Amino acid sequence: MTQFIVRRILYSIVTLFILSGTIFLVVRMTGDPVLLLAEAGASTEDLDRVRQQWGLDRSWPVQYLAFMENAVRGELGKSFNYRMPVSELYFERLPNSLILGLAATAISLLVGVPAGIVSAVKVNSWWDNAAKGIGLLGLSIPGFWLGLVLILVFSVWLRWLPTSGAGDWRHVVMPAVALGWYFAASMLRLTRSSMLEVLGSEYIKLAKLKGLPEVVVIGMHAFKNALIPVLTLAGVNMVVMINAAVIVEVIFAWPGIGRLLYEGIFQRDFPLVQGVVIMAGFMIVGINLVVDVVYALIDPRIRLTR
Amino acid sequence: MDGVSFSLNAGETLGLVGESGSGKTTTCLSIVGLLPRGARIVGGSVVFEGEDLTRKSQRELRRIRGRRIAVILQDPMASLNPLFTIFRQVAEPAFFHQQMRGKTLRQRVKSLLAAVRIPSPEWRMRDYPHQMSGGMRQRIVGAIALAGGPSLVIADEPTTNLDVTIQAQYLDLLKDIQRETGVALIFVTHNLGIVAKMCDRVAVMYGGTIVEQGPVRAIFDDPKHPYTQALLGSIPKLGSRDPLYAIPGQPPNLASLPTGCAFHPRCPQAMERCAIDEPTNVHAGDGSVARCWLLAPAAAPSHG
Amino acid sequence: MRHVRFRVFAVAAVLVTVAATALPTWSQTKVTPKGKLTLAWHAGFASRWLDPQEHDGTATPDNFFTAIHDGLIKNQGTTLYDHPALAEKFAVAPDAKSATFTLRRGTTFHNGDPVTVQDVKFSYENYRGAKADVFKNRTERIELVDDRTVRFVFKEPFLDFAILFGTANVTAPGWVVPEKYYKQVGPDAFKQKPVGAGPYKLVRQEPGVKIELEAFDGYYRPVHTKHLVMVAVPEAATRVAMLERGEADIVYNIPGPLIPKVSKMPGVTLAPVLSGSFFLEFPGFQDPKNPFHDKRVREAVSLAIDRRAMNEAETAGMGKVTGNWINDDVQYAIDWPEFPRNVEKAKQLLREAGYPNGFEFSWITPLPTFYSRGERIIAQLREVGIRGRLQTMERGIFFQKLRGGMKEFPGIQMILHGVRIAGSWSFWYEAYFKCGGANSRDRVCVKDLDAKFDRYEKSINAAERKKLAEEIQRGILENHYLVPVFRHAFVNAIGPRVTAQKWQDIFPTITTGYAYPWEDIKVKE
Repeated sequence: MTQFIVRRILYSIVTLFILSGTIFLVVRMTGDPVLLLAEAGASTEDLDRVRQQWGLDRSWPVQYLAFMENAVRGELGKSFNYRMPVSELYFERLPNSLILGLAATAISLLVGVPAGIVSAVKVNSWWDNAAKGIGLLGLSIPGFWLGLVLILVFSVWLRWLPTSGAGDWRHVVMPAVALGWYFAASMLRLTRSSMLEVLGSEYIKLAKLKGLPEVVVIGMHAFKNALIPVLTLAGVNMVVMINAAVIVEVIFAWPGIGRLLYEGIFQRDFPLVQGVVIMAGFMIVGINLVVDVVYALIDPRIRLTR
Repeated sequence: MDGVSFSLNAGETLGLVGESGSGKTTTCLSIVGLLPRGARIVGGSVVFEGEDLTRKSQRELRRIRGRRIAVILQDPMASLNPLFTIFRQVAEPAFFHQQMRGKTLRQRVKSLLAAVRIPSPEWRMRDYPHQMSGGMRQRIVGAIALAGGPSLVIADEPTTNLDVTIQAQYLDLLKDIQRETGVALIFVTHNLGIVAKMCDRVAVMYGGTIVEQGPVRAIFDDPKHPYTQALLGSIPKLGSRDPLYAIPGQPPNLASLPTGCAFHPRCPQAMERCAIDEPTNVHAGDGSVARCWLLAPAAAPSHG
Repeated sequence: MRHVRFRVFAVAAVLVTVAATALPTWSQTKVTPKGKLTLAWHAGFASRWLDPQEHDGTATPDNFFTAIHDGLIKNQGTTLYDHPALAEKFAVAPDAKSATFTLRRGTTFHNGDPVTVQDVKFSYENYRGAKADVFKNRTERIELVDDRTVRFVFKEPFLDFAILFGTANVTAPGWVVPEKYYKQVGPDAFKQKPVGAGPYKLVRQEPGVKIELEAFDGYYRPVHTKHLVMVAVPEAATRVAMLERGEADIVYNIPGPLIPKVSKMPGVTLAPVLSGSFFLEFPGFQDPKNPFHDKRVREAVSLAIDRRAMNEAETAGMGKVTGNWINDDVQYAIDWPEFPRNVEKAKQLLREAGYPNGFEFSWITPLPTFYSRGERIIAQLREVGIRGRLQTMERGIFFQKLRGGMKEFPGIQMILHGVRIAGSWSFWYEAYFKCGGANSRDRVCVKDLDAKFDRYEKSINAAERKKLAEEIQRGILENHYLVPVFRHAFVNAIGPRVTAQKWQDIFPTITTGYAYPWEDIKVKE
């Protein structure tokens, strides 16, 4: 088991290196950030001065080296716009994104997974059709539309909830629903198909032939097996929801990382974009590692043959 | 399926023979009330130890499954849940049906594993299915079947997926267990050699119905139904150089059976009547029964 | 006895006069600030906007630093640039080679330190923002005449000094920051925790999300609202919802489609502030092969455009369909009558110019993200036979291409610019028209006008400058070197809790689209 974990960590480090190099290049290929840091009619002298201040006049390999040197020490550069270390900005916004991401993940799991299980167990019944319908809606309704409709109904008309921003639990409800809705639908579909596949297997047949109670057959024998792809998806989804929930964050003026990244991209705030993407990369790698470990805990085939 | 009717006593082994798609597995599943979606029992009865199982609710049937009637499935590689230990899977019937717990449960599992001749059962209990060979897994499935202390075990082609060398061992094991516990055994197979070795009685299925059944000796010595005859004729004989006899044609789709006798399109002895009327069961003198007009050309047609 | 009474009377009179002069300043600060005002800003915010020292030259940071900081002179109300603020008086020498400012007495920074001439000198010398090189290159020295007087001495006559110095949406070396504090915390930390001499002090900043400010009781003008909160809400529909729910009191930038809804909200007032000018440029029109080389063709374009329809559709009629695109709140802007629309005359001019069936152009590129305006122009031009397509691109790329010059605009093209012209008309000319200008490069290059502009720059005679400025503008307008379209309205909304008779009460400063001076805004309890 430790060998398994160690190997996973090594792979992760390699991945992060590749990620940092890629994002470094890509961000620079989008154009000159200095133009957006100064006014539209700025003189060349103004621009050069700004460029020098930010070390953008150095060659790319030199910039990359400097960046990596700092990155290893935990310094991901300083944002052009906020003049704060990117890591500080990221960690400041992280709790907000975590709250939203976890709330949305919870919604997607609590709604999607049970619905998917019921749907699979009662396949082709009206339960199933209703669930498939909800799944389709969830995947096709755009988040921004849903978000605006929620604000209109629950905030403006009914006056139950505040429109936007962060605060207490009432501020989280609508963004979490707007964000989690889509993922609930995808969880539902995946759980359903995974369960159907498992329910058709021989060992489930045998479990039934053993006369085991329905709950045990479905809840334990079937579900645990069906869980594996669902877990992978949940892990990926969670990272996306935490780092890239741009649309929901913009609509609800939620102070999260998605918005930070989006605004950074528009303003060509290189250090910010680089830094946030790297941090997101860390998070993906970390969560994948956790998911892998959880797999190994669930599935003895993975645990014992490595 | 229609016209499937047989009976079995304790300690007896009934072989259920037929090609794929003849309805063998469906028959077995319907005994325990586990039919696939879209299938229903329309008529008839399944009398087990004096009770009609078709009249029972699913809840009651669940108490019977695994406890009084057990099933051994065909594919040992797929029958066991990869995520649970051997102990857990073998213990489940005793845990749920007989409420065994703790030390008693562990003892029970150990003895079950010993009964199916698994070496070092205390260690093996903690293993997972993927750590065992096919032959061993099938024994585990056997142990699971015995766990509830059943009076009837239905084995659906248990050796088909095993190596030839292991097959014989497994069959011996089953025979020993039967001798020790006195369970009745329904052995589903398409292999007549196994029938000859294991079974007391045999029922031959074709096209969703039993075309012939009776004591093994009677059927093998003197098959009455052309299908049975063809099956027996197709067994390769050691030392013979004759080309293997294969029955021409394909078995019918149970959803669209031919009119009259299901076998008539392939039967070398088909008569006119065979295409029109379904044959009735006719008792032959030696204790076997066959569903064929050849035995009673003038008899009235059966219903259905 | 009589002369004793007289002396008492005289002393009393003196005392009363002294008290009377001192009283206004004293009583002015006796307003107790109360209430909370929330402003919903229409984009994200960058912390660097809280530091006037690094003003980026755009019309954005001024919304923020005017709350926390103060300048010697500034644009306020209808005063374009020389409203006395931290300086109670100032004067530019007749030869324009120096400018002298006298600091108001008793002004302090939020941390209690007094505003001194040292701070003024530091702020000027340390200024690193837009046009910093202009100030640096032209200033010979700074004299601290006494503890309240500063004199800036220039190498040559610097006629535009006051405008540049005092227009907060152009530069900010005159916005005074505390030298000691600035050096102590450094420029980066200063942007997180700025300290200034303005009406509000920073309570908390969540970078990019929210800024919470509280009235500074040491400010020399009365500050009416105690708490001022600025929140970043990039989505327009959400801003409108906040207004409806009373979560925001002032909301910026209501887009066209939402204006009717907001205008119907009870107690809400729309504030259509005039903002940037939109005008068409014809890159490379000097080339004889380009159809826009012919003045008649350019005039035809002007006649074909339906400015009123554009205004109606794009800003619910709240923009200005002006003649001159140089807005009237800028120095030396001339008035010009509205351009007529005459499709028949346009077609006739085209026929005369040799294009009876019109012609094709490659692209029209509007300033992102105002693509719909480009679409409307295409439709309007099609009516007279001039056909072309829309080119869209991301904002950063647009500016990059502008700076690249003709090579970035091959073929026959038009550019729909949108520029907020501030300070002096000459800043616009320098950047957008002059040959070699930062955004015009080699695309325009009208030699005779450029020659006049040179003379304008070198001139030290205000009357001569005014005359040249007017001639140049007339030259552009009569020859249709550029075709003005309309002046965009930056439509804001004022909620019911804000005390206002009319929207101009909250948006009194005509040089900007923002609601400063902040200290004057009152909220109802």
